[in-house]
Amino acid sequence: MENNISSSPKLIINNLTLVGIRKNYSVSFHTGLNIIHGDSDTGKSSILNLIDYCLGASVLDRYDEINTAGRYCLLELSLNDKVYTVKRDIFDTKKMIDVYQSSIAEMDMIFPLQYGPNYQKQGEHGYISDFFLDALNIPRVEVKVAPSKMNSAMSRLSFRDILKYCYLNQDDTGSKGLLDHDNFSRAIRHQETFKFMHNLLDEAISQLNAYISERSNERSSLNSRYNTISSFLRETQLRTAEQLDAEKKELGEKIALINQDIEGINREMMTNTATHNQLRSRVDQIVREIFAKRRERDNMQLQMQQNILLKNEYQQDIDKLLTSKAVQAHLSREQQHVDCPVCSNPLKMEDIQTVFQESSSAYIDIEVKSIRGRFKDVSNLIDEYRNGIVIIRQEIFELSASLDEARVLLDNRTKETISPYLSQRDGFLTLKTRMLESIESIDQTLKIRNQLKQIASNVAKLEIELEQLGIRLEELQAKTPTPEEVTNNIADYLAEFLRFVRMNNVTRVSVDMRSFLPSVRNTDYWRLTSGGVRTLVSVGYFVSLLKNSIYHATNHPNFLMIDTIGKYLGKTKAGYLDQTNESDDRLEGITASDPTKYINMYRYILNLCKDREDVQIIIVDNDIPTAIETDFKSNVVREFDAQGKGGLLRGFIDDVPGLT
Amino acid sequence: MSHIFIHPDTELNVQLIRVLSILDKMSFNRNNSPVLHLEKIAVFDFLLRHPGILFGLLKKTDKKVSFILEDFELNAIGSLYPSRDGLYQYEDHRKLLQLLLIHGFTNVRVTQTGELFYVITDQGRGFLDQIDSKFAFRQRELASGFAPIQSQTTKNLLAQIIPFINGK
Repeated sequence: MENNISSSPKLIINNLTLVGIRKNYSVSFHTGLNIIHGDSDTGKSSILNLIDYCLGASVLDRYDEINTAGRYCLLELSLNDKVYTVKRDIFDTKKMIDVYQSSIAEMDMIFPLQYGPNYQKQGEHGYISDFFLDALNIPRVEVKVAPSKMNSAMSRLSFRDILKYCYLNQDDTGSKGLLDHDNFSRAIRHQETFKFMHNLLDEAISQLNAYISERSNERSSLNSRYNTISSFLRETQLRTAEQLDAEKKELGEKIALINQDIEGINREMMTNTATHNQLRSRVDQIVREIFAKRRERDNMQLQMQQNILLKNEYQQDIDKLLTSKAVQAHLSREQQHVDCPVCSNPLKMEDIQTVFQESSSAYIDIEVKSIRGRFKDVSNLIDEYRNGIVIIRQEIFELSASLDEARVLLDNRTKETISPYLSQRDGFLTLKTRMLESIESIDQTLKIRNQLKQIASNVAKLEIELEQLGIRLEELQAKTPTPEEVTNNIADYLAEFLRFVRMNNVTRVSVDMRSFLPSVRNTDYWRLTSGGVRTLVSVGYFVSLLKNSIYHATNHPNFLMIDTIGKYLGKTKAGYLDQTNESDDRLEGITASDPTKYINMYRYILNLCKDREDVQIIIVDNDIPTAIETDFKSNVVREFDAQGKGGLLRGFIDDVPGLT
Repeated sequence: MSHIFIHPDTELNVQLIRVLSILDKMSFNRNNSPVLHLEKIAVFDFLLRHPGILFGLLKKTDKKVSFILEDFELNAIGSLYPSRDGLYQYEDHRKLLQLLLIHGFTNVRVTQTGELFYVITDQGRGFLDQIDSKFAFRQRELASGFAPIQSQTTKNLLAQIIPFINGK
């Protein structure tokens, strides 16, 4: 069945967007081969991690830049040719996942569906895994936990199980523990998934029949739902989507005209009120005069207060000096002596008096006269200040009256000039608000209409899928695939891959019928000592699974992500070196100086994807071989350089503060 | 004795009249016991010079105020800017009391514990009666105002006065 339309499900990633705090970070993808390459720690692997997370992974490896810059992620993807957008919070992995049946650009126009992130937490519309399975037309089945036992417990097979065969992450590439070979229960799970993917389960036909019946019922239910909603909308005379679009467009044009009118009114208003500037400056002048007068008054009050203090002081001085004179008149001037009543020492008046100041009567008279003169002067000054303050108060009163008058006049004139504009502008603003409300209501109605459209499109999709399922059932019934056929096919593809890449000694290539893992040179994959050979075999095995699904009806979604395809091929991080035998690598001709095998892998994959719209492979690598750089230019979707050389982005998060 | 500049407050006779006014009104308490020792006389003299503080102190401690404060006593330069030094001029007051002793206007009473109290004599009171001046009358009037605080200790009085000086 070799043609350009695969019977297997089809998953194509269109765009990944990390919605951030400062900006959004976006990568677009296309069908066929997509390459992301660049320096270490530039966020290449995190792109695959984010895609995997949006496809339902339970964890997300967030590095610091994503933590500080990101909010949530959006994945626009096509599932069996229908476009969806998955929206998932990057911080709360247990939060419900929203799915929009639209592209990212149009997601605001429809209501999202809500799914639980795992089988422990159900969303309003079910589980995210079931969503992916249904959208890809993959039957929802249960597989045996212990296949060798007749009465084995059953466990629901999830979309995540299938994705294990679609994502070769950095740790798994060339790893001895590929597909959890070293973990018995997980390995069993993968084997059952492999069987399901390749229709090898005993109950494949009955499961497919059950699934077709389930999908059929779903189609009937959707049809009836469509008819109910459609007749309801008709009866409620809800306008059609075309009418709504036209109305929205018309309202938008009217709003633009209103905005122009409002701007015109604002301009005219400013021009007309300019004629009142003279009056306005008169008001300002009066305000300034009042302020100056108040300062003058306060100053005078201060002066007056200080002179009052002085006057009071003079008054007291006069009283004291007159008292001193009176005492002199009555006090005996005769020098007297007494003995101290306590110590009996003599107390002499002349000795003690010298300590104090005692002015003569004549001198006191002169001083009193002088102080009285000053007292009179100060009193006059106080009177002058008092009169001055009264006059200024009167002036302030008159100026305040003028100010009130000028302000009333200005207010009235402004009111006269502006009022018509204001009422006109208010009118326009009210109209604009009403129109904006109408647009909002139209958007809401459009969402309802779109909902109906979605049901119709889901029915159409189901029709096609049911047809495909029917064909698949017929094929299965006519010839049920056997494990021998499937494993031989995959082994043939793997051998073809290994020969193409020019691996040494490509003999006795097979896929084990129990573990479904590859073996080369009659050696099981996990026993291969050369890390480079393991990389070639593991990549070849995953690519072969994909190729098999292209040419045979399987439940593999024709989608593959490979992180660090050059691992152990001279592109190895120090941390992984202890898992390979470098001398064996040399014997196998795997060295950094000879990139032939590495280049050939790219060439094989590119040939595989050539002219195919139903396949997608995303490869992350440190760099692509210089020899084929030009040939692969159109396949590079993102290229990073830690130093930002050649105008390249410094990383997926390219605006980290401090990076200039 | 001639002076270039007269400072009325420190004129000997003005100071004598103030101390004599204090002795006249406050020499004895209700039990006829003498209460005026040198330190208390110095404190009362300070209050006579700053009647605004005396008024405030009495009001603040809810004591009876027997006089009406005159505007010139409140709004005068000396009243607005009191000096704390005036509270402790014991030497001046000792000399003033010695002069009053020489004139026979005051007497000294010594208690069993050796404390000295000054009391006015009839001669002193007679002399004060003879002085016909507004200032002398006002001093005696103000000195009557000490009655509610007459028996308080000097330490206590100082504690109450100082906030008024600091607040200025």
